[in-house]
Amino acid sequence: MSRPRLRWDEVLLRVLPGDSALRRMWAGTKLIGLAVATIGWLLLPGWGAAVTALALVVAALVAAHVPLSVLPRPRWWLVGIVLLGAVTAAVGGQLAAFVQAFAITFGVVALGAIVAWTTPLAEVADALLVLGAPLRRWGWPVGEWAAACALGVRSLPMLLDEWRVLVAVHRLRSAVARRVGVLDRGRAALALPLRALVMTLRRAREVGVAVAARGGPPDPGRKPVRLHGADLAALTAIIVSIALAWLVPA
Amino acid sequence: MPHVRARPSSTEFAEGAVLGALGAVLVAVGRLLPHLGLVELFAVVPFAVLGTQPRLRAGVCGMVAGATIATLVAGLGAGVEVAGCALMGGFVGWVVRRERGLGTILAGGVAVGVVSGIGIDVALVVLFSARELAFSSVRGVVTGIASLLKPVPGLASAADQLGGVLRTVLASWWIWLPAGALVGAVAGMAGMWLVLRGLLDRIPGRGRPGLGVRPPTPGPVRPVPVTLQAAWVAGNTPARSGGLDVTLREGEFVVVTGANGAGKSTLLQLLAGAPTVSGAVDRAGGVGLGEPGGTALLLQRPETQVLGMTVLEDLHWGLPESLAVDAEALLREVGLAGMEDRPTAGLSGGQLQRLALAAALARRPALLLSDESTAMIDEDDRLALVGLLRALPRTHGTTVVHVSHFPDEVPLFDRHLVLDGGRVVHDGPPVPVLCRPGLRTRTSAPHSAQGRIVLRAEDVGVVRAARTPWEHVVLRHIDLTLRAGDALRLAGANGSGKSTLAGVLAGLERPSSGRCLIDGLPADRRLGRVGIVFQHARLQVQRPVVAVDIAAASGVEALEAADASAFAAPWLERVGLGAELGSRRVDELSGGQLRRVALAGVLASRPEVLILDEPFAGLDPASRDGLAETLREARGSGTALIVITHDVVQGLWEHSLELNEGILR
Repeated sequence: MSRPRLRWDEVLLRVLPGDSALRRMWAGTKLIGLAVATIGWLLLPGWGAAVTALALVVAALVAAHVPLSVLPRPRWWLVGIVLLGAVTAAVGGQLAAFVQAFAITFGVVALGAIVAWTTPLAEVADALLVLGAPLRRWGWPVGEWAAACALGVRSLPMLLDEWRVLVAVHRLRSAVARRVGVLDRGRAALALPLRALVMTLRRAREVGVAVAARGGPPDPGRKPVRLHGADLAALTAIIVSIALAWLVPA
Repeated sequence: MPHVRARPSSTEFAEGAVLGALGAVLVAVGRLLPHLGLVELFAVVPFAVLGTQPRLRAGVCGMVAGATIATLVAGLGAGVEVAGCALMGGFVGWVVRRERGLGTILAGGVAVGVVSGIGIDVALVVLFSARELAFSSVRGVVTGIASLLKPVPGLASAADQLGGVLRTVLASWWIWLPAGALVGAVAGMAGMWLVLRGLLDRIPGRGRPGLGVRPPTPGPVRPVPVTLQAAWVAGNTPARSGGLDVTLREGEFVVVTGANGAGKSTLLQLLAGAPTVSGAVDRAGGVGLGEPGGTALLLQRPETQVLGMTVLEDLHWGLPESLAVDAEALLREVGLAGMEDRPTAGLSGGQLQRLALAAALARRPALLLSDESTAMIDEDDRLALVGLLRALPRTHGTTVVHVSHFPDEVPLFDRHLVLDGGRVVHDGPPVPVLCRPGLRTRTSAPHSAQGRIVLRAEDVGVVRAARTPWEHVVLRHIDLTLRAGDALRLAGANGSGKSTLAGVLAGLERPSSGRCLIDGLPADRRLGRVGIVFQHARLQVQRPVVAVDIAAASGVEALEAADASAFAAPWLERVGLGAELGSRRVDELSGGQLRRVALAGVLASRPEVLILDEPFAGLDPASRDGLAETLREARGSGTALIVITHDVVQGLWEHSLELNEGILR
């Protein structure tokens, strides 16, 4: 039975309900892990990196309790392009390089997506406070950045709602438009992103007044970091995978 | 650059946060969903807007926030890309703000191109293995294409050339790739500048300070007593009468009324410490906006004031750590006892205003400015909120200044200021507020109970994120039949699926199960037959001038201004606004006027069914009667109505249904 294709806003920027090892992890561990894994694989790519990247994706899927139903079904033409690339690369005698490059690229993006499904974005702000602490000593406004990060994340759902209304109005108005020339339609469609931007800015200013009512941009202090066994396990897994990647070169 | 280290104002900070997050979302969506890859191109735009701000630090703030969000959502590459977009967009914005020309843009493009070219070379030297792998892969694909093309007559030489070009580029990549980056940066930034230059100038209110964006005032905080003498705010439409004269003492309970443009906002801005263009403000100490013992604000739109994810988090947002706060007692005081851990996203408008009041009270303000804070909430919540405000002068010694549109609120106050034309025309005990001159009452045309069926929903169900852990059944088994001239009231709590149902009935969304028919065809193929008046009218009225918007809403594009006015006039009169309003700018309208303009636009598109989302919220009794009359008229002419509302309006509908967890009863 075919299931309906999920809309992007039904899947992106959402956190899986329930508990999982990845969910318990500190957001900072995930940020560091993502960066270390990406750089490690890029430093010494090969079959080792390709296989460990895919293995890590599978491990993360399990550790995050990601149900299969959440995984996006790729569009047929995207699959077609990748297959065509593989075929031409095979004819050109470089199938191995193509598969390795694709596996590593895919692994990096997929790992990011899995991490995003298990991390409430608000936790990222707290992690930024801790990770940026050394910069504070040189007078960098790390607290301001973290507060902005949290505020931006907080306002995204509201913005999504308002964009939906803008699009709905646009569609209803286009439907009754008496002039249906390509030029008119094109112009109306181009005006939509501009309107969305102006609306976003207006909303940002309203939020600014609310910030002023609370005494201006805050400078939050660090919250204590609680590391779990999962953090240690994740970092170990990444280091082992990179070591393996380096031991098994192309 | 003198502004690099200056603390950003609240507005700049919020713009950095919101626009940075927007840039991050655009990049993340483009990366994770390759079929939407094009949206990545727009990611520079929010940063270009940030770049037009005078304080670089606000832009950096947005960049770091955006890059962090993007890294977590779509990986390290996305974070780096956001940073790159921020640099390019920020520079373009800076050039627009400084009104520099093409020369500066080209120079900046060369600088960015050279720097990123060097960056590319360094990265590719360090990551030499990844470079070789990528090159091999590309070489393989291109060689493959070339050998596949070879047998095709006429394409053989092209295939050879393709292979030759690739060999040249890959052999001396350290020249070709940076050169490509340089050309891309120069062309891209010049193109962006050409497009954005016009766009950034069209963004309204750029560089204008809003209410209370000043940095904290030095010295002791004491906002009352305060005396205004012929005072007026810089940047506001000049007063015709020389400004405002008002004296406020401690513990007063003041209501302010007056028509639009009478000076109500100006009065609040002056009290909140906005700089004056004329007259004098004599204050006991500093304004202390949002500071302990200072001035607190309660704003009109409930949902924009919320800054935290949960009730408790919001209450503590921005509170200085030195300030001891009994959160439980505060929440009890405003009627939110025991709701500490509730997510703010699920609260009603009235609850959000109570929460905002609790956050204000946590700072023990000496002055509370309420800017039409009751305008967008339900009737019951409205009077309850005024009741809460009424207790403040007594319990906290706070001076309360409340701007209101509602005559029934006025008698609850001790002192009443009536403003007109930028002048105080009454200052004393509450006086009755004149309602607008009597609205014409007409007996509505009797409608036939057995009209033609215009809309039919059969067993409609909507499921979001089906078969995932986020699965959410929004609507189930909805059956509904509407005949021409029918009227139906739809009630239901927040999140009961009312907006989704409206979207399905209008054909904006196809139901997951069942079907919705308009004149026998699926609703999504009859888009436009059902008109919706959305709750937030500012999103619906999209053109800068009233008449042009009404014309556009009814599908008449590209009219001359005069034609648009003539077209819009009858529709404006139908919703109880004068025809002369057609030439006004949308930015100058009040909330109530905006809603009626939105309604006029939808009526002008002559829908067979009209859906209105909370049309009565925040209207004073006279406007409410006027709207009900307009709707009765629309009904009389055969339009079927669905009114989503908490309110009860006598004689407007004969059926009332309630939506409860997706089930219609």
